[in-house]
Amino acid sequence: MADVFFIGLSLSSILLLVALGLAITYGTMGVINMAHGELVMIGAYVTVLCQTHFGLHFLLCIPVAFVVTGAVGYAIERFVVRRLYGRLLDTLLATWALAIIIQQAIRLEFGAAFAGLHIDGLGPGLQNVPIPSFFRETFLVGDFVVQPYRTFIIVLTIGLFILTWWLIFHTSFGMQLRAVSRNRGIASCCGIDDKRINAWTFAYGSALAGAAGVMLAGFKTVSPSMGTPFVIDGFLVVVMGGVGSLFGTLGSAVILGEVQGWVASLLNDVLARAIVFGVIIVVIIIRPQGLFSRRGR
Amino acid sequence: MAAILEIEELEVNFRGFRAVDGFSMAVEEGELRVLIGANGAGKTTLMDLITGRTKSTGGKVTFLGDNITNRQEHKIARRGIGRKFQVPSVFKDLTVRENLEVAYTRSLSVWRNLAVRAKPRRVDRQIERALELSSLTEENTNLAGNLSHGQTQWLELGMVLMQNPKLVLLDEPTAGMTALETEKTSEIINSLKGEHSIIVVEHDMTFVRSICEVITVMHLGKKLAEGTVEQIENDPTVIDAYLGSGGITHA
Amino acid sequence: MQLLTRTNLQLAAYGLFIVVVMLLPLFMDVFWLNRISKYLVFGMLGIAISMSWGYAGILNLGQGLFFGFGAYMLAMSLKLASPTSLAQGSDEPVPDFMLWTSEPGAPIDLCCINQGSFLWIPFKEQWFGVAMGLVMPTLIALVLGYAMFRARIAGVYVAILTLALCLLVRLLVIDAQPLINGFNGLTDLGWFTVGGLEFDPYLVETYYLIAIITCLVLIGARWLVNTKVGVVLQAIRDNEERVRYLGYDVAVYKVFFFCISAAIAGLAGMLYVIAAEFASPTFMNIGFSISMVVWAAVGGRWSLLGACLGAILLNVVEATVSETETLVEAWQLIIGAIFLFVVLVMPRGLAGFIQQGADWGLDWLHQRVKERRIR
Repeated sequence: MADVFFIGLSLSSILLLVALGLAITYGTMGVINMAHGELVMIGAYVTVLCQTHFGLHFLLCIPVAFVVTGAVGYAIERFVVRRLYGRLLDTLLATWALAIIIQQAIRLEFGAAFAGLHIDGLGPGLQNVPIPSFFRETFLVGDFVVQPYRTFIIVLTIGLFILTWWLIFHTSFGMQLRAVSRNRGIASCCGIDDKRINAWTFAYGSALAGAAGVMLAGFKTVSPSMGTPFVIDGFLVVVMGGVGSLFGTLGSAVILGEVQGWVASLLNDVLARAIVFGVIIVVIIIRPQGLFSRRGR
Repeated sequence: MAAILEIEELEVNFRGFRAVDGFSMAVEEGELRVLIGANGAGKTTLMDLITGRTKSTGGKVTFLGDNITNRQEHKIARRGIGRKFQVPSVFKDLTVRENLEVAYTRSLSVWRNLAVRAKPRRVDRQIERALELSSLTEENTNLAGNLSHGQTQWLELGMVLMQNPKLVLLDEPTAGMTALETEKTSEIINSLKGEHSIIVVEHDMTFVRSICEVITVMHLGKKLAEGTVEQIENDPTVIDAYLGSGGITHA
Repeated sequence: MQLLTRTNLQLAAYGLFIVVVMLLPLFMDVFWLNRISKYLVFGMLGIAISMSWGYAGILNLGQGLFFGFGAYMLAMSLKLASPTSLAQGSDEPVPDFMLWTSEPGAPIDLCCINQGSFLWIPFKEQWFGVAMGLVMPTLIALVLGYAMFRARIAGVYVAILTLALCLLVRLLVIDAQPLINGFNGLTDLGWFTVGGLEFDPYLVETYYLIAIITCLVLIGARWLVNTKVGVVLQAIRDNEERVRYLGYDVAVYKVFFFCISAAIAGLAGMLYVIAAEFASPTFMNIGFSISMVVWAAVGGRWSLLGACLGAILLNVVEATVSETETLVEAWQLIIGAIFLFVVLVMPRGLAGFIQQGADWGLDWLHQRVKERRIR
């Protein structure tokens, strides 16, 4: 029982990690970023590159990936998303195009492949990232097997969640962000630089994706197309929890992770995912405003 | 004359806030009724309640003898209530003529409309009349999104006319108009009088005088007074309620 | 000069398209004709997207669901018509893969080879497969559309819901190994047969079957958007609430177009199976569904012909480019870049661009004519 619960919790934490960034960019800015999964993928590749080329410690990859994907996110907002505010569906399509471009850039090793060059760690192949030994050794607490890496992911996710919550609700940046997300026009009339706020918010949401990417690299094979499923899952989590509700995202991530964990233990992985989609469809149709949101659509 | 619309003890409760609170009113056939009241008096909410946009939490709306309380919007519209919104709402990506064609609701079902061409070859007198009335004959092939503010308002009036409803609800039809445009608008509304029953929400008292017979004053979701322009302007309770905003003439 | 109007130019473009499509077999070998017929099928998908997205404002990111359903329904019939299905040791056809996973000693008969196999029995009749290929997508669209549009779900939520449903069904298909060969899909199919004529995919007749249906769909769609229903739908896209207060039942209109779009996608799925001889869960991949939207967007989402041509052109270019090995990956990159460019700079797509040029040309022409008359 506790095992399955723990597996579910660990799935939840990954969902939450990916969804947290989307909760920021979609939930508060209203931008659907289909390239979010690719930002996760970039985070994973940063880990691969840092380890193969610089021998950087796994844990140190987290801040590096955070900064790199944050910068990529900033650029995306600056050059693409900014031109499409108010055109929600177009943003969705444009960022999907970006997702393809980013994936191909990694596959083609940023063009080096044309010149016949090869950069270690890039290209269309699969990469594996070794995690430090202290993450690999399981130990017992009572008769419960603790997997340190999974536990670390959960702890880190909770940490990032609290950081995000604090940032949005207890800093002046967060206050400006909330003002912009409620009413862009009026906020900018009040002297808030809405462009700056949006750019930094987007960068922060992207940086969270980068952190998620590092953690994923630790237990999944890294490949250019690894990010795509995550963006869909992440969106479904945010929408089901209620757009604009940070705790809603937390709640629905836990629910969906547990559902997937339990069904997988009873039936199989494929059906578990199918049932998760089913749950989401039903929830969205019955409560389009989300499970935990009090605000309307 | 029989009452076409009867509102009895209508009430809506937005989580403790009663925007409309036990409001009753009867409008007779062919009547033009003006609804006035300060901001937040509940005028627009009342319109929302009548047309089914907001669901009431108490009371009853009867239209032509039918209880239409809380029915779906399109069903209420089909019974014969047309509405012009406060913010002009036309279809910006369609031409003026197409706007009127959409509003021409001879047939509403999908199957019937499959047999109707979008660009009828024959000239339709109804549409020509609506174009004329809203002075848009020249603009008939232009996109509605390119019209001026005043023209947009008239187009929407034209659309309500095409719909040919028994009761017309007009929410601030002169908002944001120049004096000249306002005059033209009151002309249009006067020409609708008699054929249709009309409820107008207005702030502009000059305009109200130019079109009005009976005024109902709303205050904090309740009916404060009802009577002719003169009665209302001299009603002490009305003056009282408006005292803060400098009397009714400036409301 | 009366002939040179915008509508007539559009009609001329439609006519030209149809003529070119009909004459292609004079210039191409069967190998290319087979390819082109697949792209015509994609063109139909472009039309379906343009109808639901461009005209009704319903962005369906799960169109692959309808395409896939159409494909599987016909593929099931064709699978039973395949020679291998008849060579499984029974008088009646039985799909080969069912035997790979069946319990030892299970009867070789569709009734009870495994739990769900009886569902295959009616598919022995080809017409049943064809009928289901149209009925199932429409039915799913009806139920889904009704649930969504009654609850006034719109915009991004529709996109997410359709996407989630498509992925859900894809997973169910993959999981249904014994019933429909799961991940591997249905291959080794028989030929589609009408009145003794076997539609071998590398036959000119097959090309014409697909080409004619595509043209009919194009003409039908054009007719549909030019009825009042089409205008009401555009009005709904513009301002849904206003339409409601005119007395229209908005949900019914949306469901109607959603169903039509689904039926076209189902039809396209069936034709694709005829041309490509397989059905697979990849039809329900997210990437494929979004590609359809890309085609329509590049061609012009507000133009049926544009969306159709967008699909065909992008695929022709892709096929040409893909003959050079190193360009395959680069092509994906180029597609991404083209798409990004279109969304950012020309939201009306190629068709909008051409339309604008034509309008400008017409204005200029009419101006000149007027001047000459005055002189």
